[in-house]
Amino acid sequence: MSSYQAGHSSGQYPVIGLPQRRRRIYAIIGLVAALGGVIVFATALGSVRIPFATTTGIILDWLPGLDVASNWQATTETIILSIRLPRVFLAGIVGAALSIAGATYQGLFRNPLADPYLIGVTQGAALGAVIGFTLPFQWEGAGFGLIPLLAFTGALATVFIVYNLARVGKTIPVTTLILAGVALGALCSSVVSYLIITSGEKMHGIVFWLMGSFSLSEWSEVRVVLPYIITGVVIILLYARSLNVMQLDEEQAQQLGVDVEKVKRIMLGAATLITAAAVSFVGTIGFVGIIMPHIVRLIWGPDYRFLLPLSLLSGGIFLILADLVARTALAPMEIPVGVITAICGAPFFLYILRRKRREVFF
Amino acid sequence: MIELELKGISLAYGHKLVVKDLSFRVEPGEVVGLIGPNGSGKSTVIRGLSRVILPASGQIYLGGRDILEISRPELARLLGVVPQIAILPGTFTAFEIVLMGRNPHLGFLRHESAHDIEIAWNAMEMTRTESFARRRVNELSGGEIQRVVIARVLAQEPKSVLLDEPTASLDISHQVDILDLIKGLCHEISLTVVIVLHDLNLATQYCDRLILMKEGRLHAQGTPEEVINAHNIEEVYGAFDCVYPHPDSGIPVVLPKAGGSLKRGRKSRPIDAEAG
Repeated sequence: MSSYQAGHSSGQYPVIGLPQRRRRIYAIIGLVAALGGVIVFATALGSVRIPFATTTGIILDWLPGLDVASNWQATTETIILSIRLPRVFLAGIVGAALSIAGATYQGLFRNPLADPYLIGVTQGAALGAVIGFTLPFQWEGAGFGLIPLLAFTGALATVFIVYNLARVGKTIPVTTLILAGVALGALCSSVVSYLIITSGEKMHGIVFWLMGSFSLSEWSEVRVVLPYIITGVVIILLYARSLNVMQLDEEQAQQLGVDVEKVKRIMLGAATLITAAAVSFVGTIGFVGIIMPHIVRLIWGPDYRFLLPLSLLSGGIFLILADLVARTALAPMEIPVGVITAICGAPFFLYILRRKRREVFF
Repeated sequence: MIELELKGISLAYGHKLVVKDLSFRVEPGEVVGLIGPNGSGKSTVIRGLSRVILPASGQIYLGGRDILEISRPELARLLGVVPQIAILPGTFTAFEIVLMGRNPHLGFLRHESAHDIEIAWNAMEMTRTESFARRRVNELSGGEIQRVVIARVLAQEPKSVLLDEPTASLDISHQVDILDLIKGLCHEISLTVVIVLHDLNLATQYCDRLILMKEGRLHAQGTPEEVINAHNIEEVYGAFDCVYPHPDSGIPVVLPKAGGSLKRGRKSRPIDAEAG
């Protein structure tokens, strides 16, 4: 009686889906290799140019379990391992964190304009940091300096308030969350502006922090930031498939077996944690979190199981390169890296967008 | 054996009670149509049955078990839902959307295996969607999207399927196409189907039993012949003198005429008015 039965039991093996998956796995492997290359490249360049072979040797020798016959000077090793490598690492970690957090927020809110700072993280961090700048004393504890600690606390506290303002019973309506984030963010920003205006000679330091910089990077900072970011990233990657299903809409996702509210809560928490950790030491670097996930989406498609790790890797690569430009372009002067991310990133993004413009990509 | 049973279900949005004290049963392999005017609570019943909203009172049993005691993934393995207008992320391919139907069957960290891919592919063959499997869903027509969503539900391998006006946005040929497909699947893989339908004539043609709702309550239930009669249609829809026997099959057909609504100020049937 119904026409669908006619002659469709072809039994051919469905090859669809698998080649695409293989292509994306190759992309991940390729980006891991590229990240390695970029780390060496960025570490070799600087006020003193060190040959790539030497740089590679020093980094390999430094890695646990590897031993390379050393034929380089101790000062060279000090420059690489104590000055440049921590900075390159921190840039890579922060770029990776902001990029995967951006992809996560875009997925959770099903909104291409979402970035890691959407629900008040930046403004909260900025307020915390600026309060730290205006305080008359310095303090240090738990590996944090005063300013990073206040920035971290400010970011988490702001999001916590936003989350509770937006909560209705056990659910968090996404629109309410964004609106509450925007409103509270504006409040924090106003206070920050006021504090900047009245900060006198500290103004330069504050503005420089707000634009983001890796100029004071040390291993201790990498060690403090890394656990938060690794934890957050692992949690986000575990829930990648749920995030795919949630692209349908919340009702369909529930009907496909996803506990939407739980996933939302966990992923919001993880993305916020890594964003707060990333900005607390290096300031609020813009552009990475919104643009890198879109570039990945344009090239490799919307499947979050690949989009998230690919965003992570490409965000790391991008920020290492941006910081390289920031410290070498006008050396010995430093440019805030947040300026470079937009100057270099925007044209590249527009090029990709233009090339793929016939396709709606979100 | 009862597949699906509602016992005194009340469903509310906030404090607004939309479904009141509703009870009915669905037997395995049955196609039950949920009909009633706009706002009578039909779609809300689908939401309640799929546990998107929790009942204010009453119980829902699926295969004899209270659905509140079934985990969400397990519920999705037993019960699939086709929404009225499925909002799909445009850049995913039709195949990727169908593959999402395997989500409730996958462990926490597992990717789809070749087995899952084969099930999804079979679902696409059954719904005749395999020819556009590789296309992005934002390139598909309304009828094609609806078939993709039905394929996704089949990939869930559920025992029961709930459909919320699956043909609302389709033209007549696509409506018949979708409903033939559902009815055929119902026989072939013995699915239990609860389907919300706006079009009363399609409901009488395709459903074994009808449940007529009015203002959130059960108004009548039974075979199409029992439910679709002039009396019920007038009471529930306020439209009168519009039920005729089909010239070929004799099943009741609802054929409204212009000016035939009680909602336009007339309080009683014109024949009574003339008599009075």
